[in-house]
Amino acid sequence: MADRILISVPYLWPANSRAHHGGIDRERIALWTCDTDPTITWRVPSECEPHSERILYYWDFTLCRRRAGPASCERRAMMSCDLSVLLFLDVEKAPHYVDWYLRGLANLEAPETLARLQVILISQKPTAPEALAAAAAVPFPVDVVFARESVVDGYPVWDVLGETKSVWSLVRGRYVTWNHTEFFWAPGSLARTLDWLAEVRPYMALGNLRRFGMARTRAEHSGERLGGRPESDRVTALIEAGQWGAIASTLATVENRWWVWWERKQPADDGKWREDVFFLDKHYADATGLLWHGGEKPFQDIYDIMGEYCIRTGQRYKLAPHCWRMPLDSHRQFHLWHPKHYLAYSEAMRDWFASQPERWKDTSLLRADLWPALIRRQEGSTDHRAIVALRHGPGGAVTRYAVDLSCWLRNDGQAALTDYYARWGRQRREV
Amino acid sequence: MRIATPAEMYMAAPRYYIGRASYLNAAATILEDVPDCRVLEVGPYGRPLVEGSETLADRPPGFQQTYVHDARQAPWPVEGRYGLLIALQVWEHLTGARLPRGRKRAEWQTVS
Repeated sequence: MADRILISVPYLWPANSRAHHGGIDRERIALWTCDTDPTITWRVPSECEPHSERILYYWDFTLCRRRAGPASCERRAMMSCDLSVLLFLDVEKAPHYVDWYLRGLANLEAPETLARLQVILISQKPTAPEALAAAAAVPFPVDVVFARESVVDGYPVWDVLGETKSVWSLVRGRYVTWNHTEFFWAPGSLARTLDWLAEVRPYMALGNLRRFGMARTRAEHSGERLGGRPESDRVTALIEAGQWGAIASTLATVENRWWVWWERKQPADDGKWREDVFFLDKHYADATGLLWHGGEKPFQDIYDIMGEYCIRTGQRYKLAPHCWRMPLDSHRQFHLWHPKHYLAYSEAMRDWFASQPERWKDTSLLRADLWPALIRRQEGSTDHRAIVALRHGPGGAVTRYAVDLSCWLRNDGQAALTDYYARWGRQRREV
Repeated sequence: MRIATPAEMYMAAPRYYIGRASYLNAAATILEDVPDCRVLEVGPYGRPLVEGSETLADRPPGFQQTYVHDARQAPWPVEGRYGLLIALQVWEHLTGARLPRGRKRAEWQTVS
Protein backbone atom coordinates (compact mmCIF):
# COMPACT_ATOMS: atom_id res chain seq x y z
CA MET A 1 0.00 0.00 0.00
CA ALA A 2 1.12 3.54 -0.67
CA ASP A 3 -0.16 7.01 0.16
CA ARG A 4 1.12 8.44 -3.10
CA ILE A 5 1.82 6.96 -6.53
CA LEU A 6 3.89 8.41 -9.37
CA ILE A 7 3.99 6.56 -12.68
CA SER A 8 4.72 7.51 -16.26
CA VAL A 9 3.52 5.92 -19.49
CA PRO A 10 4.08 6.80 -23.15
CA TYR A 11 1.45 9.11 -24.59
CA LEU A 12 -1.16 7.57 -26.88
CA TRP A 13 -0.24 4.25 -25.46
CA PRO A 14 -1.18 1.60 -26.41
CA ALA A 15 -2.31 2.95 -29.83
CA ASN A 16 1.23 3.66 -30.97
CA SER A 17 3.00 1.32 -28.65
CA ARG A 18 5.96 -0.74 -29.55
CA ALA A 19 5.84 -4.50 -29.19
CA HIS A 20 7.36 -4.52 -25.74
CA HIS A 21 4.96 -1.88 -24.44
CA GLY A 22 1.99 -4.20 -24.41
CA GLY A 23 1.33 -4.63 -20.76
CA ILE A 24 -0.94 -1.97 -19.44
CA ASP A 25 -3.83 0.21 -20.48
CA ARG A 26 -6.00 2.85 -18.92
CA GLU A 27 -8.34 0.27 -17.41
CA ARG A 28 -5.50 -1.50 -15.72
CA ILE A 29 -4.04 1.77 -14.51
CA ALA A 30 -7.44 2.50 -13.01
CA LEU A 31 -7.45 -0.83 -11.24
CA TRP A 32 -4.18 0.01 -9.60
CA THR A 33 -5.14 3.48 -8.60
CA CYS A 34 -8.61 3.08 -7.18
CA ASP A 35 -10.07 4.63 -10.35
CA THR A 36 -9.58 8.11 -8.99
CA ASP A 37 -8.50 11.07 -11.08
CA PRO A 38 -4.83 11.85 -10.74
CA THR A 39 -3.88 14.76 -8.56
CA ILE A 40 -1.42 15.84 -11.24
CA THR A 41 -1.27 14.91 -14.90
CA TRP A 42 1.78 16.21 -16.70
CA ARG A 43 2.57 15.66 -20.37
CA VAL A 44 6.26 15.80 -21.10
CA PRO A 45 7.96 15.75 -24.52
CA SER A 46 9.97 12.60 -24.98
CA GLU A 47 13.55 13.07 -26.02
CA CYS A 48 13.91 9.43 -26.97
CA GLU A 49 11.44 9.38 -29.83
CA PRO A 50 10.60 12.37 -32.02
CA HIS A 51 7.08 13.77 -31.79
CA SER A 52 6.18 11.55 -28.84
CA GLU A 53 5.38 12.29 -25.25
CA ARG A 54 5.23 10.65 -21.90
CA ILE A 55 2.55 11.36 -19.35
CA LEU A 56 3.24 11.43 -15.66
CA TYR A 57 0.33 10.54 -13.41
CA TYR A 58 0.59 11.40 -9.75
CA TRP A 59 -1.92 10.49 -7.09
CA ASP A 60 -1.76 11.85 -3.57
CA PHE A 61 -4.31 9.94 -1.52
CA THR A 62 -3.50 12.03 1.53
CA LEU A 63 -5.14 15.07 -0.03
CA CYS A 64 -8.80 15.63 0.62
CA ARG A 65 -9.44 16.93 -2.87
CA ARG A 66 -8.69 14.48 -5.61
CA ARG A 67 -9.34 15.92 -9.00
CA ALA A 68 -7.39 16.73 -12.09
CA GLY A 69 -7.04 20.11 -13.75
CA PRO A 70 -7.43 22.84 -11.13
CA ALA A 71 -5.73 20.72 -8.53
CA SER A 72 -2.75 20.45 -10.82
CA CYS A 73 -2.61 24.21 -11.20
CA GLU A 74 -2.78 24.70 -7.46
CA ARG A 75 0.03 22.28 -6.87
CA ARG A 76 2.18 23.80 -9.57
CA ALA A 77 1.66 27.23 -8.08
CA MET A 78 2.87 25.96 -4.72
CA MET A 79 6.12 24.96 -6.32
CA SER A 80 6.88 28.34 -7.84
CA CYS A 81 10.07 30.32 -7.41
CA ASP A 82 11.17 33.85 -8.25
CA LEU A 83 13.31 33.37 -11.35
CA SER A 84 13.94 30.66 -13.91
CA VAL A 85 17.19 30.94 -15.84
CA LEU A 86 17.16 29.21 -19.21
CA LEU A 87 20.87 28.55 -19.56
CA PHE A 88 21.90 27.69 -23.11
CA LEU A 89 24.98 25.63 -23.86
CA ASP A 90 25.68 25.96 -27.55
CA VAL A 91 28.11 23.89 -29.55
CA GLU A 92 30.70 26.66 -29.78
CA LYS A 93 31.19 27.02 -26.02
CA ALA A 94 33.48 24.72 -24.09
CA PRO A 95 31.70 22.79 -21.32
CA HIS A 96 33.76 24.49 -18.62
CA TYR A 97 31.70 27.64 -19.15
CA VAL A 98 28.81 25.74 -17.51
CA ASP A 99 31.05 24.92 -14.58
CA TRP A 100 32.12 28.58 -14.25
CA TYR A 101 28.52 29.82 -14.42
CA LEU A 102 27.14 27.39 -11.85
CA ARG A 103 30.08 27.46 -9.44
CA GLY A 104 30.00 31.23 -9.53
CA LEU A 105 26.39 31.24 -8.41
CA ALA A 106 27.03 28.58 -5.78
CA ASN A 107 29.92 30.50 -4.24
CA LEU A 108 28.89 34.11 -4.71
CA GLU A 109 25.24 33.98 -3.68
CA ALA A 110 23.66 33.09 -0.35
CA PRO A 111 21.80 29.76 -0.03
CA GLU A 112 18.51 31.55 0.65
CA THR A 113 18.95 33.44 -2.63
CA LEU A 114 19.65 30.25 -4.57
CA ALA A 115 16.45 28.77 -3.11
CA ARG A 116 14.54 31.44 -5.06
CA LEU A 117 16.15 30.34 -8.33
CA GLN A 118 15.55 27.62 -10.91
CA VAL A 119 18.18 26.84 -13.53
CA ILE A 120 17.23 24.90 -16.63
CA LEU A 121 20.32 23.99 -18.62
CA ILE A 122 19.45 23.49 -22.28
CA SER A 123 22.23 21.74 -24.13
CA GLN A 124 22.38 22.22 -27.88
CA LYS A 125 25.12 19.62 -27.84
CA PRO A 126 23.78 16.08 -28.21
CA THR A 127 25.98 14.96 -25.33
CA ALA A 128 27.63 17.03 -22.65
CA PRO A 129 28.96 14.85 -19.83
CA GLU A 130 31.18 17.61 -18.40
CA ALA A 131 28.23 19.97 -18.22
CA LEU A 132 26.12 17.31 -16.54
CA ALA A 133 28.85 16.71 -14.01
CA ALA A 134 29.01 20.46 -13.35
CA ALA A 135 25.25 20.53 -12.85
CA ALA A 136 25.46 17.64 -10.40
CA ALA A 137 28.22 19.31 -8.38
CA VAL A 138 26.42 22.45 -7.24
CA PRO A 139 24.18 22.53 -4.15
CA PHE A 140 21.04 23.64 -5.96
CA PRO A 141 18.94 21.78 -8.52
CA VAL A 142 19.78 22.24 -12.17
CA ASP A 143 17.29 20.79 -14.65
CA VAL A 144 19.08 19.49 -17.72
CA VAL A 145 17.37 19.20 -21.08
CA PHE A 146 18.92 18.19 -24.37
CA ALA A 147 17.62 20.10 -27.36
CA ARG A 148 16.24 17.87 -30.08
CA GLU A 149 17.26 19.62 -33.23
CA SER A 150 18.49 18.24 -36.48
CA VAL A 151 22.26 18.15 -36.73
CA VAL A 152 23.79 19.10 -40.06
CA ASP A 153 27.48 18.64 -40.68
CA GLY A 154 28.05 18.43 -36.93
CA TYR A 155 26.14 21.61 -36.16
CA PRO A 156 22.61 21.74 -34.72
CA VAL A 157 19.90 23.75 -36.43
CA TRP A 158 19.39 25.61 -33.17
CA ASP A 159 16.16 27.42 -32.43
CA VAL A 160 16.12 29.25 -29.10
CA LEU A 161 12.40 29.94 -29.16
CA GLY A 162 11.63 26.36 -30.14
CA GLU A 163 13.79 25.10 -27.30
CA THR A 164 12.15 27.55 -24.93
CA LYS A 165 8.76 26.23 -25.95
CA SER A 166 9.83 22.66 -25.29
CA VAL A 167 10.84 23.40 -21.69
CA TRP A 168 8.12 25.93 -20.90
CA SER A 169 6.11 23.42 -18.87
CA LEU A 170 9.10 23.02 -16.57
CA VAL A 171 9.45 26.73 -15.87
CA ARG A 172 8.44 27.53 -12.28
CA GLY A 173 9.74 31.05 -11.97
CA ARG A 174 7.52 34.11 -11.95
CA TYR A 175 10.24 35.66 -14.11
CA VAL A 176 12.26 34.07 -16.88
CA THR A 177 15.63 35.11 -18.26
CA TRP A 178 17.74 33.69 -21.06
CA ASN A 179 21.46 33.30 -20.36
CA HIS A 180 24.36 31.91 -22.31
CA THR A 181 26.98 29.93 -20.47
CA GLU A 182 29.57 32.68 -20.94
CA PHE A 183 27.54 35.00 -18.69
CA PHE A 184 28.77 35.37 -15.13
CA TRP A 185 26.80 36.86 -12.24
CA ALA A 186 28.61 39.48 -10.17
CA PRO A 187 28.67 38.70 -6.42
CA GLY A 188 25.31 39.38 -4.81
CA SER A 189 23.80 40.54 -8.08
CA LEU A 190 21.28 37.71 -8.19
CA ALA A 191 19.88 38.66 -4.79
CA ARG A 192 19.60 42.34 -5.77
CA THR A 193 17.97 41.39 -9.07
CA LEU A 194 15.37 39.16 -7.39
CA ASP A 195 14.58 41.83 -4.82
CA TRP A 196 14.16 44.45 -7.53
CA LEU A 197 11.86 42.22 -9.59
CA ALA A 198 9.78 41.41 -6.51
CA GLU A 199 9.42 45.08 -5.67
CA VAL A 200 8.76 46.55 -9.11
CA ARG A 201 6.93 43.63 -10.78
CA PRO A 202 7.68 44.73 -14.37
CA TYR A 203 6.23 43.00 -17.40
CA MET A 204 9.76 42.89 -18.63
CA ALA A 205 12.98 44.60 -17.74
CA LEU A 206 16.33 45.12 -19.38
CA GLY A 207 19.37 43.96 -17.41
CA ASN A 208 22.99 44.95 -17.62
CA LEU A 209 25.46 42.63 -19.33
CA ARG A 210 28.96 44.06 -19.21
CA ARG A 211 31.89 43.38 -21.48
CA PHE A 212 35.45 43.49 -20.26
CA GLY A 213 37.77 46.22 -21.45
CA MET A 214 36.97 49.79 -22.36
CA ALA A 215 35.26 50.88 -25.55
CA ARG A 216 36.78 53.77 -27.44
CA THR A 217 33.95 54.16 -29.91
CA ARG A 218 30.29 53.37 -29.97
CA ALA A 219 30.88 50.65 -32.55
CA GLU A 220 32.92 48.70 -30.04
CA HIS A 221 30.21 48.25 -27.48
CA SER A 222 29.65 44.60 -28.22
CA GLY A 223 32.67 43.47 -30.17
CA GLU A 224 34.40 40.57 -28.46
CA ARG A 225 37.12 40.83 -31.06
CA LEU A 226 38.02 44.30 -29.90
CA GLY A 227 39.56 43.48 -26.57
CA GLY A 228 38.67 42.46 -23.10
CA ARG A 229 40.30 39.07 -23.24
CA PRO A 230 43.11 39.81 -20.72
CA GLU A 231 40.60 41.07 -18.16
CA SER A 232 38.31 38.13 -18.81
CA ASP A 233 41.22 35.70 -18.49
CA ARG A 234 42.12 37.22 -15.12
CA VAL A 235 38.61 36.54 -13.87
CA THR A 236 38.35 33.01 -15.24
CA ALA A 237 41.74 32.13 -13.72
CA LEU A 238 40.36 33.17 -10.34
CA ILE A 239 37.21 31.10 -10.94
CA GLU A 240 39.33 28.08 -11.79
CA ALA A 241 41.34 28.60 -8.60
CA GLY A 242 38.20 29.08 -6.51
CA GLN A 243 39.41 32.45 -5.22
CA TRP A 244 35.94 33.87 -4.73
CA GLY A 245 36.96 36.78 -2.55
CA ALA A 246 39.47 37.91 -5.14
CA ILE A 247 36.82 37.65 -7.85
CA ALA A 248 34.61 40.10 -5.99
CA SER A 249 37.38 42.68 -5.69
CA THR A 250 38.56 42.10 -9.26
CA LEU A 251 35.10 42.55 -10.76
CA ALA A 252 34.72 45.74 -8.78
CA THR A 253 37.85 47.28 -10.28
CA VAL A 254 38.45 45.62 -13.65
CA GLU A 255 37.84 47.69 -16.76
CA ASN A 256 34.44 46.90 -18.21
CA ARG A 257 31.78 48.54 -20.26
CA TRP A 258 28.05 48.45 -20.65
CA TRP A 259 26.03 49.19 -23.74
CA VAL A 260 26.77 52.65 -24.99
CA TRP A 261 23.04 53.22 -24.93
CA TRP A 262 23.12 53.32 -21.16
CA GLU A 263 25.47 56.26 -21.17
CA ARG A 264 22.88 58.58 -22.61
CA LYS A 265 20.70 60.53 -20.28
CA GLN A 266 17.34 58.92 -20.87
CA PRO A 267 14.39 58.02 -18.72
CA ALA A 268 14.51 54.53 -17.29
CA ASP A 269 11.45 53.43 -19.19
CA ASP A 270 11.95 54.78 -22.69
CA GLY A 271 11.38 51.38 -24.26
CA LYS A 272 14.63 51.29 -26.19
CA TRP A 273 15.73 47.71 -26.57
CA ARG A 274 19.51 47.55 -26.34
CA GLU A 275 20.51 44.78 -24.00
CA ASP A 276 21.42 41.10 -24.17
CA VAL A 277 19.81 40.22 -20.85
CA PHE A 278 16.19 40.78 -20.06
CA PHE A 279 13.64 39.48 -17.61
CA LEU A 280 10.15 38.51 -18.69
CA ASP A 281 7.11 38.01 -16.47
CA LYS A 282 5.90 34.47 -17.21
CA HIS A 283 2.36 35.43 -16.27
CA TYR A 284 2.39 38.11 -18.94
CA ALA A 285 4.05 35.81 -21.47
CA ASP A 286 1.48 33.08 -20.88
CA ALA A 287 -1.44 35.46 -21.12
CA THR A 288 -0.27 36.99 -24.37
CA GLY A 289 1.49 34.07 -26.05
CA LEU A 290 4.10 36.57 -27.09
CA LEU A 291 6.91 34.05 -27.53
CA TRP A 292 5.15 31.74 -29.92
CA HIS A 293 4.39 33.79 -33.00
CA GLY A 294 5.95 33.25 -36.40
CA GLY A 295 6.78 29.55 -36.62
CA GLU A 296 10.23 28.03 -36.59
CA LYS A 297 13.16 30.42 -36.17
CA PRO A 298 16.49 28.67 -36.67
CA PHE A 299 19.61 30.74 -35.97
CA GLN A 300 17.56 33.52 -34.41
CA ASP A 301 18.46 35.02 -31.04
CA ILE A 302 15.54 35.88 -28.82
CA TYR A 303 16.66 39.48 -28.24
CA ASP A 304 15.69 40.62 -31.72
CA ILE A 305 12.29 39.04 -31.31
CA MET A 306 11.59 40.75 -28.00
CA GLY A 307 12.82 44.05 -29.35
CA GLU A 308 10.42 43.69 -32.24
CA TYR A 309 7.58 42.97 -29.86
CA CYS A 310 8.38 45.80 -27.49
CA ILE A 311 9.34 48.53 -29.88
CA ARG A 312 8.03 48.25 -33.37
CA THR A 313 4.96 46.11 -33.68
CA GLY A 314 3.78 46.54 -30.12
CA GLN A 315 4.16 50.31 -30.21
CA ARG A 316 2.41 50.51 -33.55
CA TYR A 317 -0.67 49.11 -31.86
CA LYS A 318 0.01 51.14 -28.72
CA LEU A 319 0.11 47.89 -26.79
CA ALA A 320 3.81 47.53 -26.13
CA PRO A 321 4.38 46.63 -22.50
CA HIS A 322 5.98 49.07 -20.18
CA CYS A 323 9.64 48.01 -20.15
CA TRP A 324 11.89 48.99 -17.31
CA ARG A 325 15.63 49.36 -17.30
CA MET A 326 16.99 47.75 -14.23
CA PRO A 327 19.24 50.06 -12.19
CA LEU A 328 22.88 49.49 -13.03
CA ASP A 329 23.77 48.47 -9.49
CA SER A 330 20.93 45.92 -9.26
CA HIS A 331 21.65 43.55 -12.10
CA ARG A 332 25.27 43.00 -13.09
CA GLN A 333 26.43 40.12 -15.24
CA PHE A 334 29.74 39.92 -17.02
CA HIS A 335 30.32 38.49 -20.46
CA LEU A 336 33.33 36.19 -20.37
CA TRP A 337 35.50 36.18 -23.44
CA HIS A 338 35.06 33.31 -25.85
CA PRO A 339 36.12 32.61 -29.41
CA LYS A 340 33.30 33.42 -31.78
CA HIS A 341 32.64 31.40 -34.89
CA TYR A 342 29.73 31.10 -37.22
CA LEU A 343 30.04 27.42 -37.96
CA ALA A 344 26.37 26.98 -38.66
CA TYR A 345 26.57 28.64 -42.02
CA SER A 346 28.05 25.94 -44.19
CA GLU A 347 27.32 24.65 -47.65
CA ALA A 348 25.88 21.50 -46.08
CA MET A 349 23.49 23.64 -44.03
CA ARG A 350 22.44 25.59 -47.11
CA ASP A 351 21.74 22.32 -48.90
CA TRP A 352 19.81 20.97 -45.90
CA PHE A 353 17.38 23.89 -46.03
CA ALA A 354 17.16 23.68 -49.80
CA SER A 355 16.23 20.01 -49.60
CA GLN A 356 13.07 20.90 -47.64
CA PRO A 357 11.44 23.62 -49.76
CA GLU A 358 7.97 23.09 -48.37
CA ARG A 359 9.04 23.41 -44.75
CA TRP A 360 11.08 26.56 -45.32
CA LYS A 361 9.13 28.20 -48.10
CA ASP A 362 8.74 31.97 -47.78
CA THR A 363 11.69 32.13 -45.39
CA SER A 364 15.01 33.84 -45.95
CA LEU A 365 16.71 30.51 -45.30
CA LEU A 366 16.06 29.60 -48.93
CA ARG A 367 17.51 32.83 -50.31
CA ALA A 368 20.39 31.73 -52.50
CA ASP A 369 21.76 35.28 -52.65
CA LEU A 370 22.46 35.35 -48.90
CA TRP A 371 24.29 32.10 -48.47
CA PRO A 372 27.61 33.02 -50.14
CA ALA A 373 28.05 35.88 -47.64
CA LEU A 374 26.90 33.69 -44.76
CA ILE A 375 29.39 31.01 -45.69
CA ARG A 376 32.12 33.63 -45.87
CA ARG A 377 31.33 34.42 -42.22
CA GLN A 378 32.20 30.86 -41.35
CA GLU A 379 35.52 31.54 -42.98
CA GLY A 380 36.15 34.65 -40.88
CA SER A 381 34.38 37.46 -42.69
CA THR A 382 33.16 40.27 -40.44
CA ASP A 383 30.42 41.40 -42.78
CA HIS A 384 27.24 41.45 -40.70
CA ARG A 385 24.90 42.46 -43.47
CA ALA A 386 23.99 38.93 -44.49
CA ILE A 387 23.03 38.07 -40.91
CA VAL A 388 20.89 41.19 -40.67
CA ALA A 389 19.22 40.33 -43.96
CA LEU A 390 18.70 36.72 -42.90
CA ARG A 391 16.92 37.80 -39.74
CA HIS A 392 15.29 41.13 -40.57
CA GLY A 393 14.88 41.00 -44.34
CA PRO A 394 11.98 39.53 -46.31
CA GLY A 395 11.20 36.09 -44.93
CA GLY A 396 13.54 36.58 -42.00
CA ALA A 397 12.61 35.23 -38.60
CA VAL A 398 12.04 38.68 -37.11
CA THR A 399 9.98 39.72 -40.11
CA ARG A 400 7.86 36.59 -39.95
CA TYR A 401 7.37 37.14 -36.24
CA ALA A 402 6.25 40.72 -36.82
CA VAL A 403 3.81 39.72 -39.55
CA ASP A 404 2.29 36.94 -37.44
CA LEU A 405 2.14 39.18 -34.38
CA SER A 406 0.40 41.90 -36.39
CA CYS A 407 -2.15 39.43 -37.69
CA TRP A 408 -2.80 38.25 -34.17
CA LEU A 409 -3.16 41.79 -32.87
CA ARG A 410 -5.58 42.68 -35.66
CA ASN A 411 -7.75 39.71 -34.78
CA ASP A 412 -7.95 38.43 -31.21
CA GLY A 413 -4.73 39.81 -29.81
CA GLN A 414 -5.64 43.45 -29.44
CA ALA A 415 -8.67 42.59 -27.32
CA ALA A 416 -6.72 40.01 -25.35
CA LEU A 417 -3.92 42.40 -24.54
CA THR A 418 -6.29 45.24 -23.70
CA ASP A 419 -8.15 42.92 -21.38
CA TYR A 420 -4.91 41.78 -19.80
CA TYR A 421 -3.74 45.32 -19.10
CA ALA A 422 -7.15 46.18 -17.69
CA ARG A 423 -7.11 43.23 -15.31
CA TRP A 424 -3.46 42.97 -14.48
CA GLY A 425 -2.03 46.35 -15.38
CA ARG A 426 0.71 47.66 -13.17
CA GLN A 427 1.30 51.23 -12.23
CA ARG A 428 4.46 52.82 -13.51
CA ARG A 429 6.77 53.44 -10.65
CA GLU A 430 9.87 55.50 -10.46
CA VAL A 431 12.80 53.32 -9.58
CA MET B 1 13.50 13.51 0.73
CA ARG B 2 16.40 13.98 -1.59
CA ILE B 3 15.64 13.50 -5.27
CA ALA B 4 18.45 12.73 -7.69
CA THR B 5 19.02 15.34 -10.38
CA PRO B 6 18.83 14.35 -14.05
CA ALA B 7 22.59 14.83 -14.14
CA GLU B 8 23.08 12.27 -11.37
CA MET B 9 20.76 9.83 -13.13
CA TYR B 10 22.72 10.37 -16.33
CA MET B 11 26.01 9.69 -14.58
CA ALA B 12 24.62 6.39 -13.27
CA ALA B 13 23.58 5.13 -16.70
CA PRO B 14 24.58 7.56 -19.46
CA ARG B 15 23.28 5.63 -22.42
CA TYR B 16 19.92 5.00 -20.84
CA TYR B 17 19.23 8.48 -19.44
CA ILE B 18 20.53 10.54 -22.33
CA GLY B 19 17.00 11.26 -23.60
CA ARG B 20 15.04 11.16 -20.40
CA ALA B 21 15.81 14.46 -18.71
CA SER B 22 12.42 16.05 -19.37
CA TYR B 23 10.30 13.58 -17.52
CA LEU B 24 12.87 13.19 -14.76
CA ASN B 25 12.70 16.96 -14.29
CA ALA B 26 8.92 16.81 -14.19
CA ALA B 27 8.97 13.94 -11.72
CA ALA B 28 11.40 15.79 -9.46
CA THR B 29 9.17 18.86 -9.56
CA ILE B 30 6.10 16.86 -8.62
CA LEU B 31 7.92 15.21 -5.74
CA GLU B 32 9.51 18.39 -4.48
CA ASP B 33 7.07 18.93 -1.64
CA VAL B 34 6.46 15.31 -0.72
CA PRO B 35 7.56 14.90 2.90
CA ASP B 36 10.17 12.37 3.95
CA CYS B 37 8.58 8.94 3.88
CA ARG B 38 9.18 5.32 3.04
CA VAL B 39 9.52 5.00 -0.73
CA LEU B 40 9.27 1.99 -3.05
CA GLU B 41 10.57 2.30 -6.61
CA VAL B 42 9.55 -0.33 -9.12
CA GLY B 43 11.93 -1.02 -11.99
CA PRO B 44 14.45 1.80 -11.51
CA TYR B 45 17.41 1.72 -13.87
CA GLY B 46 20.96 2.61 -12.88
CA ARG B 47 20.00 4.15 -9.55
CA PRO B 48 16.84 5.06 -7.65
CA LEU B 49 15.31 8.47 -8.15
CA VAL B 50 14.84 9.06 -4.43
CA GLU B 51 17.85 8.56 -2.24
CA GLY B 52 17.38 5.77 0.27
CA SER B 53 14.30 4.29 -1.36
CA GLU B 54 13.58 0.57 -1.47
CA THR B 55 13.60 -0.92 -4.95
CA LEU B 56 11.86 -3.80 -6.68
CA ALA B 57 12.97 -5.19 -10.04
CA ASP B 58 13.22 -8.56 -11.71
CA ARG B 59 16.89 -8.20 -12.57
CA PRO B 60 19.46 -6.11 -10.76
CA PRO B 61 20.51 -3.42 -13.32
CA GLY B 62 23.80 -2.33 -11.86
CA PHE B 63 22.93 -1.71 -8.24
CA GLN B 64 21.63 -3.64 -5.26
CA GLN B 65 17.86 -4.13 -5.35
CA THR B 66 15.92 -4.41 -2.12
CA TYR B 67 13.56 -6.92 -3.70
CA VAL B 68 14.46 -8.99 -6.76
CA HIS B 69 11.02 -9.85 -8.05
CA ASP B 70 9.01 -9.86 -11.27
CA ALA B 71 6.52 -7.04 -10.77
CA ARG B 72 4.00 -8.88 -12.94
CA GLN B 73 3.61 -11.48 -10.24
CA ALA B 74 1.37 -10.62 -7.31
CA PRO B 75 1.72 -10.41 -4.46
CA TRP B 76 4.90 -8.45 -4.19
CA PRO B 77 7.31 -9.40 -1.41
CA VAL B 78 6.93 -6.09 0.38
CA GLU B 79 5.56 -5.43 3.80
CA GLY B 80 4.04 -2.48 5.53
CA ARG B 81 2.90 0.86 4.24
CA TYR B 82 4.75 3.17 1.86
CA GLY B 83 4.45 6.90 1.67
CA LEU B 84 5.25 6.88 -2.04
CA LEU B 85 5.39 4.36 -4.89
CA ILE B 86 7.33 5.35 -8.02
CA ALA B 87 7.31 3.50 -11.34
CA LEU B 88 8.60 5.72 -14.11
CA GLN B 89 10.18 3.34 -16.57
CA VAL B 90 8.28 0.10 -16.16
CA TRP B 91 4.54 0.49 -16.36
CA GLU B 92 4.26 -0.12 -20.09
CA HIS B 93 6.43 -3.21 -19.79
CA LEU B 94 4.15 -5.12 -17.42
CA THR B 95 2.90 -7.45 -20.12
CA GLY B 96 0.75 -10.23 -18.74
CA ALA B 97 0.70 -8.80 -15.28
CA ARG B 98 -1.55 -10.55 -12.82
CA LEU B 99 -3.20 -7.45 -11.56
CA PRO B 100 -5.84 -7.23 -8.87
CA ARG B 101 -9.47 -7.14 -9.78
CA GLY B 102 -12.00 -4.78 -8.32
CA ARG B 103 -12.01 -1.04 -8.08
CA LYS B 104 -12.02 -0.58 -4.35
CA ARG B 105 -9.00 0.91 -2.77
CA ALA B 106 -9.02 -1.75 -0.09
CA GLU B 107 -8.63 -4.49 -2.69
CA TRP B 108 -5.75 -2.70 -4.32
CA GLN B 109 -4.08 -2.34 -0.97
CA THR B 110 -4.19 -6.06 -0.30
CA VAL B 111 -2.05 -6.77 -3.33
CA SER B 112 0.81 -4.37 -3.03
